[in-house]
Order: sequence, then structure tokens, then C-alpha cells
Amino acid sequence: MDVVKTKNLNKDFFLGKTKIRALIDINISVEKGEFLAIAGPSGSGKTTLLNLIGCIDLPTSGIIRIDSIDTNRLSSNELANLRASKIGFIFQSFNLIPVFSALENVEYPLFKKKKNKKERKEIVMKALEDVGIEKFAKHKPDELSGGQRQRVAIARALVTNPKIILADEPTANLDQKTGATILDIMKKINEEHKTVFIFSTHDSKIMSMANRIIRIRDGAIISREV
Amino acid sequence: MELPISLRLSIRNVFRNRIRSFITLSAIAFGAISLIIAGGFFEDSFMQMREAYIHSYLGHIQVHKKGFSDKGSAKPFEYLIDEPNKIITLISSLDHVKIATPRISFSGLLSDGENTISVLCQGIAPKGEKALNIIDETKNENRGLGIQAGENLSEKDEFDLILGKGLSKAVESSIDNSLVLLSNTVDGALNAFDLNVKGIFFTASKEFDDRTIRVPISTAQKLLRTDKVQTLVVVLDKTKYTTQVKNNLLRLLKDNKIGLEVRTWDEMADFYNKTVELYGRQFFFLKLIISIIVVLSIFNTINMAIWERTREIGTIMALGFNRFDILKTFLLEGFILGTIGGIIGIIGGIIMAYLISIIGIPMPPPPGATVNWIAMIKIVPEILISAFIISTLSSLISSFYPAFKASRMVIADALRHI
Ligand SMILES: Nc1ncnc2c1ncn2[C@@H]1O[C@H](COP(=O)(O)OP(=O)(O)O)[C@@H](O)[C@H]1O
Ligand SMILES: [Mg+2]
Repeated sequence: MDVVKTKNLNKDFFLGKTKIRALIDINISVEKGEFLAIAGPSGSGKTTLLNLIGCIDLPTSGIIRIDSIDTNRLSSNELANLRASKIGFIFQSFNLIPVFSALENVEYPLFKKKKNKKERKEIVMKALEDVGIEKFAKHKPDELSGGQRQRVAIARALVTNPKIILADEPTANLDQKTGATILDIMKKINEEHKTVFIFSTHDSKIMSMANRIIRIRDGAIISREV
Repeated sequence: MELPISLRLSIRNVFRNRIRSFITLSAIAFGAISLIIAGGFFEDSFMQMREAYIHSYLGHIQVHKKGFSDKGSAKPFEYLIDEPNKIITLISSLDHVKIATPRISFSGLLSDGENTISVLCQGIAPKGEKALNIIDETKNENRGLGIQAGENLSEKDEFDLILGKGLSKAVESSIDNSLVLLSNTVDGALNAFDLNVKGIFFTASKEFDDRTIRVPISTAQKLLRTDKVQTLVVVLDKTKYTTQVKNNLLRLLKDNKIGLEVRTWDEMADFYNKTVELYGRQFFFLKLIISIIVVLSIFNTINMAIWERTREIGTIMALGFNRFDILKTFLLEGFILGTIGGIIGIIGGIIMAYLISIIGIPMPPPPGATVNWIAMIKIVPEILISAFIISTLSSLISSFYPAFKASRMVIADALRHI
């Protein structure tokens, strides 16, 4: 059974009267446990595709199924609940909440789930340990390096135990070595928890760590590699 | 104790941009302080004015023969109270009554031999009027009738008079000078007495000082050839008991089948009521202006915060928080700003009110009055509460639109925002 399935997915943007076809007839299926790279140059539609899969943007046409749920039928609140329970996000520029410590950033998504305080603290510490950042739990984002921030972001994506984690160019703001470490952490989590990872990149070294690569250009899939 | 994470988020965000928050809080606190000072000033002025009216002349309650207030001015001598002493005893038996003192007022002509002038003459009981004039026994504070020259009437006086400051300029009225007072008796005959000028008085009312003389009530009764009185002025220990005493007095009179009418000071102090209404309306506009200041400053602050935090809003929604959560977050921030600003304002307002009251604001005589007075700032719980409510409520209201706008953002667009 597919964790993610899209059917004839199209997304158009309008800049004034000009129509931009950001995605054209995208059909993909992602199975449980996959570590999938979306590759393509800047402007090819990677972010747009991840946004649609992550239910933070709506397609112009086509179908998206997350864990067999047809997202077209869901209201904005139902989509929020779906994201809260099934999807985690990692962003290129980390997007941590600056007034929160590392620990609070990771704890914040759990706020929507009715867990008691003790349970919550345990899960949060476990997630911080999984990404090797537990020593920095009390630090604010601006006291952390880029690599450390991205680890906190991974812990935040992980903490709700989602089915899918979407990472939009997670290494683009990091140096080569740190980027590779981040990918290693993601890979480890993927293997331990069987969480699906879909990440976008235009870096061929990073791509090569995936067990499948989908290449897109100008909004269309140009190749699928295993 | 750890605060809930949503509250922690809002509180920290409120203090994220220190300078902006400081300015916003100052605006709110300034508004609340202005309200507290202005409201307290009005309230103190009202109180002083009210007490001045009561203690200079009106008393807390006046009792007349039934029909006096309708027809008494045309035929004053037809509405006189029989057996005044019996009724004084009855009134004095009520709780909170300090004294009930008789008066009889009539118009007459006052002459120094050269000039003759028409005056309002009050026959009064010196002891009772003195008790009326003292506003606070512990401080022996006299806010009522003051003596500018000579002496006030006392119980031993018989053919003596005191006259108002304004009137004293119209006739030759140096102390111990003799003046002639001419009047009709209750039966319509003419009668005149030679009276000795004992003193010159002033009150808070210029109009009163311009046309009134006072003589001992026994002298007035002799001049008018009656043993009745026109008015019984009732003085209470505290103004706030007025209505209660009025009701008790009405019941007492009814039980004893005595046909008298009872009026309280506020039914008679027309000028006071109009002033309170006027200032009340001004205070309302002040509240409105201050609400607008608070609304604008909070609106601006929240609006800027939302602009700066657009990507954060997108992130939070991506994490699974819904639109209503975003709305709540920003409403909470506005509310926190309003609450903190309101608290600072109340504390600041109390301190300011206290300091200003120590110094006092010298004030010119109010319209129609003759004496300067010192205004203070009264700390009124209702005004403190309303200043606080205005701060919090207008903050909440003004954060609503920006917060709503934030909650409507397209998540993907918000995330692309730099
Ligand atoms: N909100 C938007 N409005 C207009 N055009 C957009 C918007 N978002 C993306 N696009 C356009 O869609 C195309 C794909 O963009 P994107 O998904 O960001 O590509 P990538 O992430 O691969 O760099 C680009 O041409 C981009 O300019
Ligand atoms: Mg992109």
C-alpha cells in the first residue's frame, strides 16, 4: 500500500495574466520505508511538489492520497489535523521558532496532542537524543550552528512519529560535510522507524544517498532511477 | 510551575521587539493614567462641589409644608410648618441625623438711609447653621459659609444681621452700622426693624452672596409676626446616607400622619447635576479618544509583528496548527500587551494621583461661585477598573483584524516569505 500517491497532479501559478505551469501531470507512488530524492534544478517545481504532498498548498487539478486518504475532500482544519498526525517538515532554512529553546521547539508540535507532561518530556528528549543534540536542549536557535539547528528541526519533525517526513533542500544552507551528516541522521531514522523521507535537492552527492531518485524539470518528471 | 507552551510563546513574542513593545505599553499605560487622573479629578471636583453646596446652604434634606415646592414661591406664608419643635424632635430621632435646623425665608427691603435694596432674608438658628457648615468634625473643616469681616451670628444675638459679600458693596455696611429691614408680616401688614451689622459672609455661590442677608430666626418670626417656620434643614453625618434617611423620614411622617414634603440635596442642586452631566459627557469622549489611541498602537504593533513573522506563521501551520490556533496566538499577544499596559497604567495612575493630591491643584472659583479651591485626584475603584477594561478590551479588539489576516494566510506563500 502506498503511503503517498499522486494522480495527474497539476499546479498553475498566475503572475498577473501569465500562467506558470509549476507542475504538469505528476504521478508518483511512495511506499513504506522509502528514502526518496526529488532532484532538479532551481525553479523546476521541487518545492511546489513537496508543498502539495505536505498539504500546505492545493493542486490546480489532480489527486493526492496520503496514507490512502484522499486529501481533496478535506477542509482546512482536517488538513491541519492530517499534517499534525502524519506529516513532518524539514525546511531549507530550518524555520525554528526563535523565542523557543531547542527543547521547546521540539515540544511545540506535541501541544496539539493530548499527552501528559511527563510523557511529552520523554518523547522530546528521545527525539533530541536521536539527532544527537540533547546537550543543547536549553539553547535558543540563535545560539546554535546551522547543522545543530537542522538537527533540532529533524527532531521536531520526528517527535510526532509521522508516516512521512518532507525535507525541502535540507542541506542547501549547510556545508558539504554537515549536509552529509544531516542526511546520515535522516537515513538512520528512516531505517529505524521506517518513516518515509522525501527530500528535494540539486546536489548530486546528496542525491546518491537516496534509494530512489525522481528527476523533474520544468514541472514534469523526466526520469525515475532506483 | 511552568506556563502552558502557547502562553510562553505569546509572552516571549511580546517582548521580542523590546523597543516596539515599550512604546506600545507606554501608549496604553499613558491612556490608562490619563483616564485615572482625569476621572479622579472630576470625581474629586464633584465631591467638593457637592459638599460645598450641602454644607454652605442646602443641607442633605429639606422639609417643607406639602405644596411648598409647587406654590410656595408665590405665597410663601401660606406654606409654613406648624409646631416646628415637635417635628424637629421627630426628625432628630432618625439614624444618621446630626441636626435639623429651622429657617424662614422672605423678601424684604434693606436700607442704610440713602440706598434701599431688595434682599432675600433668611431667618436661621445660628447653632444649627454652624453645625451645617462644618463638613468634617475631626478636621473642624468648614467648607460652607465663611466670614469675611466681623463675626457670624450666634445664639445670643437678637437684632443683628450678617450679609453676603456681594450685597455688602451695595449698602453702607461697615461692622456695627445699623440698617433698616422692612417686610410684610404674614397677615400683610408692614413691619420694620433696626438691625446691627455683625458680619459679612461668603459661600460657594456668588448668586447667593449677592442678595441674601441672615437674621436670627426668632427676630424673623417677630418681624413676620408668626411662630411657624418655613423650612427644616436636615444635616446627616454622611452624604451617602441621604436616600436611606429620606425614605425613613417619609415613613415616619406617614406613620404620624404629618403632611410634609421631603426633598434631598440632589433634587435641589440643579447646577450641580448639570455640571456632573456635562463633565460626564466630556469624560466619555476622553475614554473614546484613549480607546482609539490604544486601538491604533496595538493594531500597528500586531500588524508589524505579523509581517515580520510571516514565515513563522507558515511554519506553525505546516506543523499542524490550524487557523484558529493562529488567531488565538495573536489575540493572546494583543491581550497580554493590553493587560500589562493596563496594570502599569493603574499603578502609575495611583502613584500620580497620590503625588498630585499631595501638592494639590489650585483652581479658580467654579462658575457662579466666589472662592478658590484646591483640586485633588480621587482614586476611584470604578475608574481604575474601567481604565483596565478599556486597555485590555481595546487591545483585544484591535488585534482581531491583524490576527484574522494572519490566520487566513496561504501556508505555502507564507513559507516563501523572506
Ligand atoms: N507563489 C508563486 N507564485 C508564482 N509563481 C510561483 C509561486 N511559487 C512558485 N512559483 C513558480 O513555480 C515554479 C516552480 O517553483 P519551485 O517549486 O519553487 O521550484 P524549486 O523548488 O524547484 O526551485 C517556478 O517557476 C516559480 O517561479
Ligand atoms: Mg525550492
